[in-house]
Amino acid sequence: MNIAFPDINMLVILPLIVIFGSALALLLIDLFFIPAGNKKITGYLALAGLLFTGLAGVPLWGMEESSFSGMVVVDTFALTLNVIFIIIAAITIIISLDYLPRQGIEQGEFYPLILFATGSFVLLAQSTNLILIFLGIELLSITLYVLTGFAYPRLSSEEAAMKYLLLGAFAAGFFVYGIALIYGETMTVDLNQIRLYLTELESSSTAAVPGPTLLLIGGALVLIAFSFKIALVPFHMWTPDVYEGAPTPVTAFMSVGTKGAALAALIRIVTIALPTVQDAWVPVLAVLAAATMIVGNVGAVAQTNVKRMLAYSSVGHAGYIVLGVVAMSAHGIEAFLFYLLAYSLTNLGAFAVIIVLEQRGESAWSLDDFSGLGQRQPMLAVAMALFMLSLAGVPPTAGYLGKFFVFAAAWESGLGWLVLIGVITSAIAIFFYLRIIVRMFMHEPVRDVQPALHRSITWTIAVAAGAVLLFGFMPNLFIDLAQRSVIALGG
Amino acid sequence: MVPTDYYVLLSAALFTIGVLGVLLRRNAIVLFMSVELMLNAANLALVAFAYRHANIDGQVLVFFVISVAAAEVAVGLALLVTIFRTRSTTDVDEVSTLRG
Amino acid sequence: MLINYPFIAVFFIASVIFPFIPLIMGYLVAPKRPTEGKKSTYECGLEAIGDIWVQFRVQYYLYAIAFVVFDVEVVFLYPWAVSFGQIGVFALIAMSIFLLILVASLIYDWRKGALEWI
Repeated sequence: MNIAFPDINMLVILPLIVIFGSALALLLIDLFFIPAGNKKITGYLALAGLLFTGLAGVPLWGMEESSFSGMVVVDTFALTLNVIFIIIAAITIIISLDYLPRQGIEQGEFYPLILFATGSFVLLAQSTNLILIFLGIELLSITLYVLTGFAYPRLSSEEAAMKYLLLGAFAAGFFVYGIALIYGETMTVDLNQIRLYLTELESSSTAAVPGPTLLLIGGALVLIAFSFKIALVPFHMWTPDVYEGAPTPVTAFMSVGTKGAALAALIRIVTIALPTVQDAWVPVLAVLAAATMIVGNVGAVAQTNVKRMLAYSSVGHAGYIVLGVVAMSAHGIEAFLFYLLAYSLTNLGAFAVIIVLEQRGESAWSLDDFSGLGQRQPMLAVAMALFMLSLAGVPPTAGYLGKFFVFAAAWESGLGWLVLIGVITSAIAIFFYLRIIVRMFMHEPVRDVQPALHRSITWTIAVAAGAVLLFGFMPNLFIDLAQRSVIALGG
Repeated sequence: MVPTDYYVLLSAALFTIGVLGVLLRRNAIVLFMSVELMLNAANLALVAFAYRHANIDGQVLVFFVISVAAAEVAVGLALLVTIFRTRSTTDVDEVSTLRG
Repeated sequence: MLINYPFIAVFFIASVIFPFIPLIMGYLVAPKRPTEGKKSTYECGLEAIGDIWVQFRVQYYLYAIAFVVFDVEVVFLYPWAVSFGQIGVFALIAMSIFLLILVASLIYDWRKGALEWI
């Protein structure tokens, strides 16, 4: 027997090789050469690894190729997402550099773990095979379980990690069983082959041939698993607890990165494999999105803990991002990419401000800590206000345009009711974002919180705020890229 | 020769037992076992389908599921050990300072 | 094929009954003269010391956890080994990379002191 090897083009997985290679190398370098108490060096090396990963994407630019028997693909969509993921990871590392020693939880493994998680994002953006998507999701989850519990021995962190792990493993069970059923129906785990199977089934469809029942049940299970990862209502119950318990940079990282990566994989699945059965899943996802927007934003109103409020708000934002997917159009995907970028910059910026205010031993997440910030630290307060306005979707910020684009895309696809819910919940959201701004500028200071403003984090906040404004005024800087990505997807 | 449909039905039953176990039991170790049951139910279905279709992809996925499950359990047990050292319990209801 | 099921049923019933036979026989036939030594817990012929609920060292769990991971990774070696004759040098290189990654994690374990038995 001879086994024929598939054509393999190593160039296609170059970003993956670079990022996983550097993560592994960094783990060992940190172990042997970086002295304890000086782990910032590991952080800088991790930033270098991210830079190399970005550079590895340069020679691939404009390439449209799939390799490894169609398991991995490289196209503008994936490369654009890679850029966003690298930005997310870089900001996360920079805001952690000072936070970890200040909280007394500095361990060298933090930075390689962030690189592994980012590698799994890249893997999810590039894979077109259910096995690889499963691996990507699990790699992402397992690294995040560890990162969530990183503030050991703080009990809230351990507890959050345990909750996240149990629910994540539960979701993994659904995911694998869903894949098993899809495989049972279609005899393949390759997304393109599944599409071929479905079109064939449609053309030969008669009364005697039943519809793809197993595939639809499997698809529903896979959708449940994704809902857990993206935190769509009613599978969001872990989100507030886990986001509150995790170390703040990790919360920032997973609130944007996980959503982006899991949704990228979901987009690949629905656009490549399932366009012919749209009628079955679009309404389901639309209802999930509507419930997510409502529960996320209404839940945030009741919170007095700012970190928890941002957790609920991130649930709400997941609903808005999903609108771009539900639209199932070129504009929808563009809107998804733009929203992801805008939301990532804004949310990372907001969490960076929280990190600055967070002291060791006590959590400076109460609304009181923001009272009077406008007098004591005017620039910081202005930046926070800008992030809040962007999260609320007030012009002229990037968040506003992101919301506008997803609503427009959903409207074009005839989902008027969903847009209506989106607009109403955005109006509710303005209330709790404005509350923080009011506290900062119109209240007297309640507690004396010393902001830990180091140069790296100050610059990060400034750059994020600048980018939020820049993309608010000049979205075309990114939209062109997004449009080319959509062409790559064949949308 | 047992038809593959039976295997699939058995796997569906095992999967349901696993889901119920996760939803009804409160001990973290038992929860892990229930999740393992879900994953192995999926493995059984995959192997049965792979056999029926004479296609190898399903069996390949089973390998990955097994190794991923091991990694997950390793992380979970490590977490449990640290929690147990701080709190001396593995009951998930007793470990809940995060509320609201 | 349904014809096979009665055999399974017979086996099942027999295997349930079988262990009870010697127990019941022993209960009916054996003489009973209990002494202190006979009633004590049997632990490899030694006298039992202390409570059975002892805390194990954390090292023990570290070993166990490391073992679980490394043990399971071997599943990837089996299909590779079985088809090694047909797949040649490329697979050898690929598997070497996989094993190198495993070795890297073993070095990590060792350096972190997870393999020290105190």
